[in-house]
Amino acid sequence: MPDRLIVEAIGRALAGFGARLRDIVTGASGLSAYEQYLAHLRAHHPEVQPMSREEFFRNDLTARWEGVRKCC
Amino acid sequence: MQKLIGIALAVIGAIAVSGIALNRGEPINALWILTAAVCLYTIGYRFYAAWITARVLSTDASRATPAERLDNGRDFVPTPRWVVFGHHFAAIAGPGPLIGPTLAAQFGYLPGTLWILTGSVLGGCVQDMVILFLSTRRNGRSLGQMAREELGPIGGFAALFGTLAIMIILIAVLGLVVVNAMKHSPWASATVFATIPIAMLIGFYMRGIRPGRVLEGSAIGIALLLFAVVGGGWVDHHPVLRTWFDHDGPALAWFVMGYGFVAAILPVWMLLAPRDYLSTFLKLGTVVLLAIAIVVMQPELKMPALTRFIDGTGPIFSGKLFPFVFITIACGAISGFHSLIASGTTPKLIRTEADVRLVGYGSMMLESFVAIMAMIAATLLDPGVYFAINSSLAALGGSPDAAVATLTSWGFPVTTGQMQTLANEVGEATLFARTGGAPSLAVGMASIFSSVFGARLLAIWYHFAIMFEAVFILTTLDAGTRVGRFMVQDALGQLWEPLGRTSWYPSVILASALVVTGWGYFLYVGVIDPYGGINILWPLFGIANQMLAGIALAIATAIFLKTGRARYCWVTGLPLAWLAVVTTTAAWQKLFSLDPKIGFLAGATDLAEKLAAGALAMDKAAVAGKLMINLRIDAALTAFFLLVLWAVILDMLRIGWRAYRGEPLASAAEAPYQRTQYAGVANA
Repeated sequence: MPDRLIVEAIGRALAGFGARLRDIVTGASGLSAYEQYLAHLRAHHPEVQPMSREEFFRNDLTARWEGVRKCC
Repeated sequence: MQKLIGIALAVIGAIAVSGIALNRGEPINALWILTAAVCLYTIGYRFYAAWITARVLSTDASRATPAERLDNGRDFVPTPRWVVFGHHFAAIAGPGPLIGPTLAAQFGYLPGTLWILTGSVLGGCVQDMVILFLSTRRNGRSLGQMAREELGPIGGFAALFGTLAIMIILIAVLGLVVVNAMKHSPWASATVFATIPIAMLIGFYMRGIRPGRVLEGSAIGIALLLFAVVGGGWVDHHPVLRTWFDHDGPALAWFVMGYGFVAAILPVWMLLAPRDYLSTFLKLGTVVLLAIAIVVMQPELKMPALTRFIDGTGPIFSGKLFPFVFITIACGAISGFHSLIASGTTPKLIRTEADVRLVGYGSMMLESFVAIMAMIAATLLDPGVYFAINSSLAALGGSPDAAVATLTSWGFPVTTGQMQTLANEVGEATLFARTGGAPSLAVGMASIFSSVFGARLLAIWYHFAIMFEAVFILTTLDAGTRVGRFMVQDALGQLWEPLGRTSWYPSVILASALVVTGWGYFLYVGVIDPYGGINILWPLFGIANQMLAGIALAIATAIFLKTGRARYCWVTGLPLAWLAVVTTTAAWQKLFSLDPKIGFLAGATDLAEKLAAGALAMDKAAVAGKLMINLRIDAALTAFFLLVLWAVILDMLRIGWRAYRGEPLASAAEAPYQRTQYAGVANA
């Protein structure tokens, strides 16, 4: 049944595209920043106690606004 | 397959560009410009940027970045590529690309569009990416530190003082744009004022109520901002309330100064950070909406490809096509300011060198796309309307009646009736002489949006666009004041140690006051200038910004020369040479042109003579003294920028000469290779 295979392939491609789009949007807008930070700590520094969401965003803010942070 | 796509893109792009360039006499569709832009960006990104990263920079995905090696979970954090992209774009995105193209449209749509496209693909994007890469290889060194280490003390000094001076001029001109948009417009003023408490509310929301919930906070904030746009209309129709928000230029200038001072000493989370979120979301949303609307509407550009003003007699700003189109476009094509962001914060987040192309080159592409949108919005307007909005009355004969007569005689027919109807439709008292670019961009955007989403909403769309621009400008204004404050505190700390403590309140207040006085002076003189001030300040800003780009490119070229990549040094060397020619010519003309409309010194002399001869009207005579002093200060600043640029270029050439002769050079301070511990990070 080539038709079904084609439909499935298109479905997979769309799902893949959707997932990528979601990664781009959540990533670029900073929505998933905390989750990504948790994943990073789990993967690379399992011994470190992660910051809470509040702490993380407080830190992020200070780091973001140090130095020149806005252009023309 | 990749190659086929590339060839197809190149063909479509070439057709679109030649369609734009060769089309004469008949109106051109905005879709052509959009197509040319998308094709050129894609080709630039896929081929030129890929070639630079592979051959010139030799990025190495196996090399651990400073974010990985120095990971401290605070400022050095390995971050996924799209998150870094978001950070970086939010930082470089400002009001500049909205204003520059709008003003440069005085030459017609063609010169500005071509420079935005070629300047970004070959210059601006390259600069941002190369500086980002070099800083990443040097543990996130700032531009000033790299200048000192790679060029020498002159370079370091130039980068430091260049940055401070450009910041002062930038804030002044942006303040002037927002003042001109709010002048005697209760609706615009009420909406812009309302954005301040809204941003603070969102600040408290994200800090105290729902920490870190960026999406919720931003969604609420944007809903409130839209409500503020509508609410401004109610205020405008209320007989008493509207008088509270109806102010003249000087009063608004004082307000902006007071605002800048207070905003710079408040903690960032309260006002600056939440508004930055809102403005970035707004910018992306609006640009995407504009692109969709242009694709749907396929509007025709009414501005000719080239206007008569390429001869230098333009009413918006004086000066010939060369060099002033390259100075005026500024940030949409190449912006020295971006190199300050690309060194410093962003390199500390880059997880792998493979991300440098997306973050550095890609962000600037998007920023340049914003400039293309602004160019389209400006050139969609009837040229007569465009010039009537953007020129000062003084440049067109002194009164609305004289202005329409002058414009019509120039071949850009427009009537006072037409201007009044348009003003009524967008809910403003008048649209004559609303200089600075914001009102004309707003009219352009409003006409695109309202043709898609309903004509009755023209006034709402107009004030939405004004709010959109004001939000950016105010963010840049207080962020810039804050940066200036840190720099001044740093300098004062050399004199007396306690003044260098960034959290000691007397020092904070003193330094902030100094910075606000600096830009406030230029803002105030701009407001009282009968020619609108923009015609003086914007070229000055353009020269400063291109000078900073020149410094950044000189640093990059020097590093290429020192590290055995001399045969590729044209990648940054050619844009540098072009900028040097453009900036030097423009600065020279601003200094020594005998035309009082172009040369600062000639302008001051001309005013002095007219004042002595009693040839000035009362109101102009009253401010002539201040304007004369200001013109001379502007001249001194221009000379300073020119000297700094050439000092850095000569320093770079000295290094090139030594490298050529094989003489010993201080080794480039690149951090040693260390293999990444991240498996498969190159593909992530």
